[in-house]
Amino acid sequence: MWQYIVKQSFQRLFILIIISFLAFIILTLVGDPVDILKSMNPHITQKQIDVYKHQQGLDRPPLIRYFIWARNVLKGDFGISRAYKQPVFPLLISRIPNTMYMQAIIMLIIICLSIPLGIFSATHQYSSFDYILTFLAFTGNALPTFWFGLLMILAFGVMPAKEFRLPFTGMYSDSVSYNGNVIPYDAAPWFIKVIDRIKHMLLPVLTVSLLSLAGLMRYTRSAMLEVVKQDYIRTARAKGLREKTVIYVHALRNAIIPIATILIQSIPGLFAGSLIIEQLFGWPGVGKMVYEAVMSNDYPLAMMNIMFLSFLTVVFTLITDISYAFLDPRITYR
Amino acid sequence: MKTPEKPNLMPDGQPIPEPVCTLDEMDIGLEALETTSAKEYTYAQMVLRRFLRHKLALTGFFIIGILITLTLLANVISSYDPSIAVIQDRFIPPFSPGHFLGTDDVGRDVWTRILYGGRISLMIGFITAITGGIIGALLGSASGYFGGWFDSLMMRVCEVFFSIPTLPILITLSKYFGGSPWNIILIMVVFGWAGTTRMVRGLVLQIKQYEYIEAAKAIGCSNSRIILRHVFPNTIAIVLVSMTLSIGGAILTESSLSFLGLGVQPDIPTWGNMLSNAMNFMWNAPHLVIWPGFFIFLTILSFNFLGDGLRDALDPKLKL
Repeated sequence: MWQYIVKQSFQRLFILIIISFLAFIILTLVGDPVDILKSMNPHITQKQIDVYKHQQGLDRPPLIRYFIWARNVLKGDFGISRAYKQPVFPLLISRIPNTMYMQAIIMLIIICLSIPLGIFSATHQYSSFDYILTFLAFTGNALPTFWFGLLMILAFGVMPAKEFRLPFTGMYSDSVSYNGNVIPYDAAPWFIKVIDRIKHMLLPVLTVSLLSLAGLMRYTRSAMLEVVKQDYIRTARAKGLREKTVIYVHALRNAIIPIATILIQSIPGLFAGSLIIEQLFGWPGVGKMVYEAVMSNDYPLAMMNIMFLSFLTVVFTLITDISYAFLDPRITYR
Repeated sequence: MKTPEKPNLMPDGQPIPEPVCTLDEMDIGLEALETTSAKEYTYAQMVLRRFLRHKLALTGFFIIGILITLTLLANVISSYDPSIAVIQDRFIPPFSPGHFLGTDDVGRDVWTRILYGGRISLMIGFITAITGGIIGALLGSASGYFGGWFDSLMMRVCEVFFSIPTLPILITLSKYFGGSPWNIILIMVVFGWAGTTRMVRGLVLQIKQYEYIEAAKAIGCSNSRIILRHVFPNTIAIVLVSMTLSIGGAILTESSLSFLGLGVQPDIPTWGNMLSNAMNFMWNAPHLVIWPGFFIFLTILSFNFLGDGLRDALDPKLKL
């Protein structure tokens, strides 16, 4: 078991190194940060540019730059953002809570709704309720996130009368109304802040969770259907257990293994998939930062983000593989 | 001590009789046997019967057919030009005479742009999915069949493609190469073949254990013959299904890139960049947001229905 983990960890580390190389080469294609310098100051001379390039090490070929980057990373230095003029690692860390805060709530809603719905769908297979849920799942799978988000914005943020509109940009308002006065957000009492934050969260959270419900629900349904066919369920029924005990104790316990693993596997996807939703709702998280970093040729920051996302994916795939062995005693690893 | 090679003799010392037929003929003979042993229906007939009973798949098939016909006949159906601005006709609401779905911010007819945009979006979807599917099927078959170093190499490459965050990389690449639909297709194919490869490989590993492969090996078929005649045809069903499903995926990715302002350049209409443009006029013309997204949704939904129906129809274990 331990041998397996160690061997796999080394393999995954190797994959991470390859990804870092590929991503670095691709990111150098994006363009010089010098273009931004030029657009900010049209009077800049070629000499100043050359000096800047030399200072930043940009006059070297990409391959050499990659090795310099890698050496610095081994020393714990991920570079300095060109847009923020700050070290990129603390920048990334400062954005992670914002993304996690939204995604954790989404995850909670999805788990609380989709697993019961999936079980119900499986125990009432071919009922009209099952058909309706199946149809809704198809719809949810086919709806593009950004379009559904835009429709939600239209329906709740644009169309209603002014006082019923929900906010759809950022995490909180600059100013809130309290006792009939408009005061800055920071000066407001805590419950006003909480209400304001919940209001800002409603639209993005609803958009993503309604769309992502479908996947886990269908997965729970098929996992349950698979388990219900097994001999031990027939045995449980034959010895006269109540249907509730059969489903929720005997069947669910076995169905939960694939469900749990798919949940663990989907965690890195939450971060990677947050790009569009955060961009749409102006949510200052990791996804929005990586988009802005790429768009402003800020490649140390983009590189940091991409490495963070790949690291998450690699680690969570490893965890999924190992958790199979822990959750299911029938699986052993050599 | 090395035993001298025995001359070609049967175990009882008799000379080997002349072969009745050549190896190739034997191979064909086996296949002929397989087809004659089928009961009332051939495979294709069974697939067709099952497919025709799948109502959702038929619906999807018809919607896709209608969409393709409409977009191909765009210049016949609509008399407007998709890219010429008519400033005095800005923001005409939908269902007005002359402009079925209204006009956009510079007075271009939305219905016309949906039709022309559909051409590009569907083309990108089809070409990306088919190219990616073929590359994935070939690499997956070879990887699963040969195993060894080639297989481990392919699997490591696939893992790299699975672990790399696709969207930021796609954004980066389309920022650099973007603009023309062909570059977007190329970028999406490069990042889209790994899934099919891994799936086909798994399937091939399974097929490899079947008796008919052993039989083909025993009668001396070459590797390429076994892959092309015996392994590859058995993976076609699953490749076809995954291609169908990934057409929708490719259209979605293209529209996401366009939505972020990085897909096909704005003067060529696609559903994605129409939507991206519409976002700027959400307050005064909300209808602009609805139509392009609706067509993306309808297309993806239809392809998902079709793919689902194909999977049910092609799976021989599923008897109706």
